[in-house]
Amino acid sequence: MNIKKMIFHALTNFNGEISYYGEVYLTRCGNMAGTKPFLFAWNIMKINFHYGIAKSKEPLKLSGIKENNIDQVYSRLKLTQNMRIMLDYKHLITDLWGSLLKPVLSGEALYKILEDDLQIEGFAKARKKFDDKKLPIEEIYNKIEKEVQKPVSPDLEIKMVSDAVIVNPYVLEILDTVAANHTSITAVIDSSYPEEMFNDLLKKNMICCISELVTTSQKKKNIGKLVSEYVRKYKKEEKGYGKSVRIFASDYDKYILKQRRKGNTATYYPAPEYFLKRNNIPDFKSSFGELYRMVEGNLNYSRPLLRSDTYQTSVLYLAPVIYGFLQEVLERADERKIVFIGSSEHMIVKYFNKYMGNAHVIEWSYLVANQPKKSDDWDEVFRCMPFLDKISADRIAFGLGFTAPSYKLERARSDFMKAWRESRSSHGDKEDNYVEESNAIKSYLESFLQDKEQVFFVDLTEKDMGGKSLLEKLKEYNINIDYEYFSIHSYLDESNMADPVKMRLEELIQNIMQMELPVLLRIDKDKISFAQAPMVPTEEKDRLYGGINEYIRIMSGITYKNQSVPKITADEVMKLLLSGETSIQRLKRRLVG
Amino acid sequence: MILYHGSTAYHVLCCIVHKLFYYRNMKAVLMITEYMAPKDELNKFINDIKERGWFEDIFIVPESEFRRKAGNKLTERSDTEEIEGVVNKLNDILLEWYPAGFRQFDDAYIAADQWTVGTYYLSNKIPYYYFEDASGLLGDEKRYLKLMKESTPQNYILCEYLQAAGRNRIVKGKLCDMNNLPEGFYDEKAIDFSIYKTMCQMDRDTRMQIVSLYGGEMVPMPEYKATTVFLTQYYNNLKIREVGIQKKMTKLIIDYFAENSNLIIKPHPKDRYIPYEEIFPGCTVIKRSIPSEILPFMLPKAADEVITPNSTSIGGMRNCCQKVYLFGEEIEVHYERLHLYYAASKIIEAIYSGQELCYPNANSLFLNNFLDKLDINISYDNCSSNKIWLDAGEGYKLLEKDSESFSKEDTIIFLEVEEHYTLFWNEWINRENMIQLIVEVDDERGCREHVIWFYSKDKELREKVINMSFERELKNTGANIGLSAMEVTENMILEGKLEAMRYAMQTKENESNDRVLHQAAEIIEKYEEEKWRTEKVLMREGILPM
Repeated sequence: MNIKKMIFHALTNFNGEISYYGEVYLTRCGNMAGTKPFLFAWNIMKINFHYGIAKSKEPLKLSGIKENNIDQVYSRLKLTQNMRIMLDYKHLITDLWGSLLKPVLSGEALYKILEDDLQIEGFAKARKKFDDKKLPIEEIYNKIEKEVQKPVSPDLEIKMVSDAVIVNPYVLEILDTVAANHTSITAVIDSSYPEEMFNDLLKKNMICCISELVTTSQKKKNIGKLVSEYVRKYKKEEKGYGKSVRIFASDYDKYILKQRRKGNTATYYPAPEYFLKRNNIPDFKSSFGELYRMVEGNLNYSRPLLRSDTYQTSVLYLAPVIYGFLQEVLERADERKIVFIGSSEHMIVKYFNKYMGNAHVIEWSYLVANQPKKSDDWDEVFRCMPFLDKISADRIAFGLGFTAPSYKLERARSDFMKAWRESRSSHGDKEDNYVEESNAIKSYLESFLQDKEQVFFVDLTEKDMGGKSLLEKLKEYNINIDYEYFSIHSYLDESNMADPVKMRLEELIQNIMQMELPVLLRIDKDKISFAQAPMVPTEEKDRLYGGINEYIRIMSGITYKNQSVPKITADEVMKLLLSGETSIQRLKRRLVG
Repeated sequence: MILYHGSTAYHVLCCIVHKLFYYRNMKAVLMITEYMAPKDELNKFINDIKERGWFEDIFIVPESEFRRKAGNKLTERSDTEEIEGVVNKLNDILLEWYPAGFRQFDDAYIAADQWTVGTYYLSNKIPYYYFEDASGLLGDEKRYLKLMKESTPQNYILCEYLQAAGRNRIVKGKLCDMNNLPEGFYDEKAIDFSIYKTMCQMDRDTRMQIVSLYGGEMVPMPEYKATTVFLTQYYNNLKIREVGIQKKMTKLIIDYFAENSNLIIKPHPKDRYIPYEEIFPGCTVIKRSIPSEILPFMLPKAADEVITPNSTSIGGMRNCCQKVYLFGEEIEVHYERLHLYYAASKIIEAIYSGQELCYPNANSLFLNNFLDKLDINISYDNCSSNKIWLDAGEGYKLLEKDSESFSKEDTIIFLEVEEHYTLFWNEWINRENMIQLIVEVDDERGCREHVIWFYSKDKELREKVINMSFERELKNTGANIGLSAMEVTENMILEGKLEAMRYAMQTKENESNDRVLHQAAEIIEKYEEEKWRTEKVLMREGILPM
């Protein structure tokens, strides 16, 4: 390490935040060190004070530079650059647990879930009390047994932790390449868990770049000493040649700080969730909150560059709501047949089918149940299906078998109604038409539902109006089923927020979900007609769906013994949507205008 | 005395092979630009050549120093005067560096003539022989110049100004591998020079000396298993400059084309960032610095297959294998389309009975590779008037461009690469004759469905397709691919949706306008939102010195 770099590290080594922003400042304004050394040093002092002594959360103002809000900078070394640095070393020491493998639940949140699962009062408190990374987990549990006066095994904790681990693809890419270029990688892990657990996790995730793995509990040493021991060993092996060993870790205090003080080279990789503070998200204190931060951090910030705005919005704000809703559906439906009302193209249906089982879908709309006959009927249709006005009139007219001008339905209403009337009268007696339509709808519904069946309806239509109109039809046709009704509206309704806020946010979600869906117009005996909604640019759609899909995939992959992952509560949903309202509005504008 | 000049490992190999075969007993000087390899590596390599005594002297041309001394940086806006000034300065600097001068040489063989030695010859109108940049690349001048423009813009400007790259009329001859030139290519100055053929004509000792110079060793090839050689590329030369994409693309190609083979990987000299040993356990990875042209002499017998996404080195490998699979530029961006082409070739396999196969609007390299891999022998039966058309569905090419040659009795396999359902824009398409095939891909990105439309009036063919299905596990990619068919007319809902979609597509003009406006608005909004980030963060993001 050169002398300038040593001085720089000495000045920015107080904590991880100072070190990180120090590096960011150096990257952006490094030339000032030569041209304005005093100002440069002054700004370093400011960074130290701001993130060290003051521990301020406010934006930091630096002197002498135009853009001084460096706390908004997301800076990750480019993959290849990161690799290039490490390829020069014979050995790499990494923390593994926290950088490459991220446990989504740990500490008190985990202990609380364990306590509920084990049904041992005082377990969480005892587990926290005896937590010592120098002790193997068995010894910690022996102490807990004595404390809670009940037999208890660490197996459940080990299984829960193993089942809830996310692999950081960016770190894996680095370590894989480093290993392939003949740098040996040693994982020195600060943990009570057994090596077998880590080895199994590596195996399960097909990670084979780690040459050696040790834990503090296995060696019964604290992490600082253990890392130093390995550094010494490798330096000795390489006979003191300059680039023998480097440390790569996301735990600043235990791995980076001490080693840099000893003059060893180390790369600090701030954990992905650290960057979440860039986003406006509520500070959830629940178990879900911890899980949310871990998963979101990894999804959004485990790449060298920032994710797109669409991806971030979908992952941060929409995905937890949709997944929470799906969890609720699954739980409430119990053994009953789940039937979605709306469209089989709806993203919620697709996610459900992919991750939770096979759902039935009744293609439905308010329009099909209430064929408008006069102007007032149309007003009602527009009120219940606001999205309909985004589809041009000619598309709807085409689906119904005639032509109409190609502009918005609201404007074309009179032309449209005239043509519709004419089309009906050309088919003979009006009443006969309606009876025929009615019979067609009845047999259509009967094809989905069986007599006395137990059904859990999930309404995905706008403002719940489609689902409610379907229920009315069931009644009208005497289709006898035993059902319960649930919808996004009823899901959000459980929150304590004021009604107008709920309605505003609900409409926002509905708007985004409605995009591109074909709208069911009419059911005839031998034909079912739809109108295609405006198309959305594929890449935006991919980011939106891809982001939500990633979140659900990770969440549904995490399982515990007696319960699925902690659920987001209705209040948390509303808080989350409120925090992201501006971003969701922007997303909506991009997607559906 | 002869002068040889090169800037890459391939060029230097050409120089060495040429010198040893044609001018074994004549004195020669070799000049290599400093960019060929890292300094230490290059010095070691030069010492190794010197030890063998093949050249009178060997020089490293310090191009970066030359450019620094020459000052002006040329851009596309530079005028003649400015370019001329730089050329003159470079000439003076070159002579200062090599005072013995270049007039002393009886002949010069120059590769990469856009570097300083080449520009000296060109600007002073001294005739020389030109080595092509890679085997067969003389026939793809456009690609070569494009690569040069992207990697070394200043050289590209000099190259265009002086008509380098062998194009100047003072060039006496262009040494190129004739076997690898594209069909129909002709150049009156072309002289056949193939490293493989020339080395085959050498005595064994000389040949092995060349192999050992590069540190080449014999690679074991088991008798019981087919051997596949995979030539990689440098991620920076790919259209999508991302290591992750290169890794995924490589895994997918290997899965489809070399799943059970004994795999030998020859990385591009600069391809350092992909851990091939980790990704493909059991594979043999050849030293990066060895030119692929040496590879045939490191194998005890011909390899069964050589695969490359789009490496220019493939030319030199055609001699030492039975089959070559090349994928062209599209693979660099749309490697995932391989799934659709694989499914398409499986459909062809199920229905083929001597029809003429037409695919002017599909990727012929992808399809031919799969047809070859699946051993589907396409032999046109002249008696059959029917054709099978394969279209990749980008835009609406099949329907517009080939509407005249297309008969409504023909069969269409339409790959929805863009999901724009353009097939339905055609009025005569009768949907009762159509089958929708779903290609389901389940990989790390989740489960995705792609659509292939099959159109035929022949009921028997349709039945064959309806009844076909397959599943395949792609081991290295960690993906599963499956195909299943669904008759559109069976499902009223789907029929209704398709009709609505078809109508929406017919009114594409308005829709396109809307989309353009929508996208324009989106770009402006995004630009404004991300202006700060783009200007202040991403552009500045770079290495943090540690």
